[in-house]
Amino acid sequence: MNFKRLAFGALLAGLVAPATLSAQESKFEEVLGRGTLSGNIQIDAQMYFKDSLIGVPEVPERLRSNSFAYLQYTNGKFSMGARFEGYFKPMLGYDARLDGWGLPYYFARFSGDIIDVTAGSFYEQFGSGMILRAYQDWNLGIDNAISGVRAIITPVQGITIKGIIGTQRHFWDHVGLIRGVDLDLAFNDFIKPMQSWGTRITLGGSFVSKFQEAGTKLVIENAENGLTPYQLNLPENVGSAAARLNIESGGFTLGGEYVYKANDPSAENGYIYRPGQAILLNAGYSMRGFGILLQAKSVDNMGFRGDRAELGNYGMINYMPALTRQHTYSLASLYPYACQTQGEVAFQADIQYKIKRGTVLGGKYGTDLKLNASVAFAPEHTNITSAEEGGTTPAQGSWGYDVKPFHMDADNIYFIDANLEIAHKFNKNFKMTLMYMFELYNQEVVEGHGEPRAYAHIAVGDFTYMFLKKHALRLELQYLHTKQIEQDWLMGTLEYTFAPSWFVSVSDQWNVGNNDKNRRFHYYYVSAGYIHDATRISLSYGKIRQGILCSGGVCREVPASNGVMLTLSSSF
Amino acid sequence: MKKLAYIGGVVALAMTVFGACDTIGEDERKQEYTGSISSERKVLLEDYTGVRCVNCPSAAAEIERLQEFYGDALVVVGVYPQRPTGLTTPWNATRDQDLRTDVAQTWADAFSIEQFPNGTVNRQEVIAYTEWGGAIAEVISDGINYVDLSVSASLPTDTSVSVSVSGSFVEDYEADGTIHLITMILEDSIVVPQQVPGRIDPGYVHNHVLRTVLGSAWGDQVASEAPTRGTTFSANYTGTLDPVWRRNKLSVVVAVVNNSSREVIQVAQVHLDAGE
Repeated sequence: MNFKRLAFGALLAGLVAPATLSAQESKFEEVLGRGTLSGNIQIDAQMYFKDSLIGVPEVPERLRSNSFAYLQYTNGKFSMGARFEGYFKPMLGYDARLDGWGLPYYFARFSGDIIDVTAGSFYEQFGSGMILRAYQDWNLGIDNAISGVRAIITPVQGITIKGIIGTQRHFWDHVGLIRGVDLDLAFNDFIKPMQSWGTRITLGGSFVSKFQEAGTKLVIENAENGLTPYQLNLPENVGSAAARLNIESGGFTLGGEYVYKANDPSAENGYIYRPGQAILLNAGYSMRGFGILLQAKSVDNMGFRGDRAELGNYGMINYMPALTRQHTYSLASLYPYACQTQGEVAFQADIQYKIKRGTVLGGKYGTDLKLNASVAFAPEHTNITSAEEGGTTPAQGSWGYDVKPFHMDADNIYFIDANLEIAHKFNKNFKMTLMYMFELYNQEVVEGHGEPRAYAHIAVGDFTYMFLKKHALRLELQYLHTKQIEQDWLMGTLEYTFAPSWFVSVSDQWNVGNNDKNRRFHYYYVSAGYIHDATRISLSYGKIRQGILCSGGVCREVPASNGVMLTLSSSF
Repeated sequence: MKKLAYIGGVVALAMTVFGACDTIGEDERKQEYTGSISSERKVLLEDYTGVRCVNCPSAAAEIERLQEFYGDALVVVGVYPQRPTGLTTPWNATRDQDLRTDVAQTWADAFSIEQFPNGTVNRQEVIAYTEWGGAIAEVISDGINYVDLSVSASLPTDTSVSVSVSGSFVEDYEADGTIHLITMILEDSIVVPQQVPGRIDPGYVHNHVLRTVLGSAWGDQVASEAPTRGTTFSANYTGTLDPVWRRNKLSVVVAVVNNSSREVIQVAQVHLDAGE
């Protein structure tokens, strides 16, 4: 493995370094000269101080850093790149298995008119990602890039065929053997009569299967004659199929995707043999000044991993999209919902409306209204085959349970989020955003412990005052009221920006209403930064509170921290 | 026509990919396990756990089933690290309610264990509790026994423990790495509150809790690399008992480990009687 990386790196360096070549090879040099080198780099480093009050763990190294550097050479239709990553050690909140350094991602690619071939590492998504999604999220420490071969064939405009085969990145290792094919048909592009239609129809389908050797899986059951051991016959090839349809006409959109996964007994689903299913539906309408989007999702037993024994947040082949609004305001995202891959029924409605300018409520520039509501329920499981009489946990090695799409257990709510946001610009110097949010958070399900129903009301006021042409001062005030968990929070942020280069901000998140007076902590945060073109440097100091997440059968902690953080990023 | 051919080709290809799919019929899912359940080579299962970890009682229930099934062939140690604090901080601040140890954290760091419950079988791979049964079965049915191990332990005074170990290699052990002995003191039946689904159970009983390691966390060398059949070793250890530990609930576990791969190649457990 190391030899391959060395060879690749040498090849890349050889292409980049100017070479003294004879006249016969000058044409080669000429072609090479037409190529461009691009890339990006980021270094995040954090220094930790002791703080036993908020529960900061001891960090013997004091300084930890996550960093990467990506270089890509592109010459016409050909490109190649490599990314170096180094975790010295991984920062708090990132999985300890990231520890190390190397070249986990490198590829060579030819993008022709009809055929596009990649050898090496690549990211890919089929449809919404519920059947396959290999992606990267640096801030979460997730990277499940596929290392293998990918071919994308476009025989005519509108027909795209993708084929992939490879293994997925799992920290510094690879896990699982994955094969997949995807067909995407944009009918309007290749069916002549449809080219002039106002209605666009796209149809797609995918097949993905994974292979893993069976290994020994022992189940010990209480039978009449005592404990009896059974060995489970595990499927080595697990296949899944998906179909999707999208229709757009005028301002209307209608779409849906269905995914089916064959029997996949795994640690995540308790080694049951029932298949998995997911349905995602959306309908929307948009016109100038108004938009509405409705979404519905029903998921059962859709954990799909390269290693059936894996639990937690890593090693997934697919990805379940969240049907909740991703909030940027801190108190609105204090208790975020985590998608339950084992099963959930969720709905979301999103309405946006712009009150016209010139009216009473619109003022000089108009007013933007955003109404959003989302809800997630537990699915209703019937006929549960349990080891105990009347138990709710399916027995290992059984079919598991029965469930129908969109049939929910109305008493078992996972999450509700209803919010209204109003944004208004008063004059060229002053603008404001107000938001009210109601949240129902099932801490017991999302975090694995605590309140089954925590109710919270959240109010946010965000005010920006611009002056002297390039300067801006922003004040953000947030309040979260709840009788459960840690009770009330108050947060204030003051941010000063000198466009386009400098920014400074100060914030404090205060647990003002905690029933335990000794735990009414202030989580303050100061940061400053400089931006020049594509380069960004920022330095911050502050306290971050602890969080616990229990997903897929294991609990992990996002630790509290008290420290100085430096981020350097640039792209070229 | 050409377009149809392309689409047809893709569908055919897709069928091949999806055809690579095993469907297990209802009567084919389980077969009675006929492998051996006893062996000369004992297996060490280490359960990394914490008192605030809500999924850990399920792992403990699995351990009970495995212990009842395998009996003496399985030795279990409950390892309580200090981090992450959100999963391990005791519910009461008194010293007798604290099951965490420094050595547990040393081992958790070395194996990169930050999520609970998690465990190791003979310190090979870090695996979830649903996999422990299979991993133990593989060692017991296929593993070669390299070492005959004999351990005796006593409590010479109220506050000290004395352990005497002797062993001999019955097969050539050809791996790289010197051979070390790790000597652990465990305590059973400790009642300390534990997070269980829905509540904190104040009367939860913790068994086989690791209290300390006599000597270094990674053990002391007793044989050099690749010992041949016939190599013998012996060692004696003494240690001080913490007054919080109850002498009639203690046991000693000695593991013979490869210091380089960390593999546990033999393990033995003896229970201490206060009367001895």
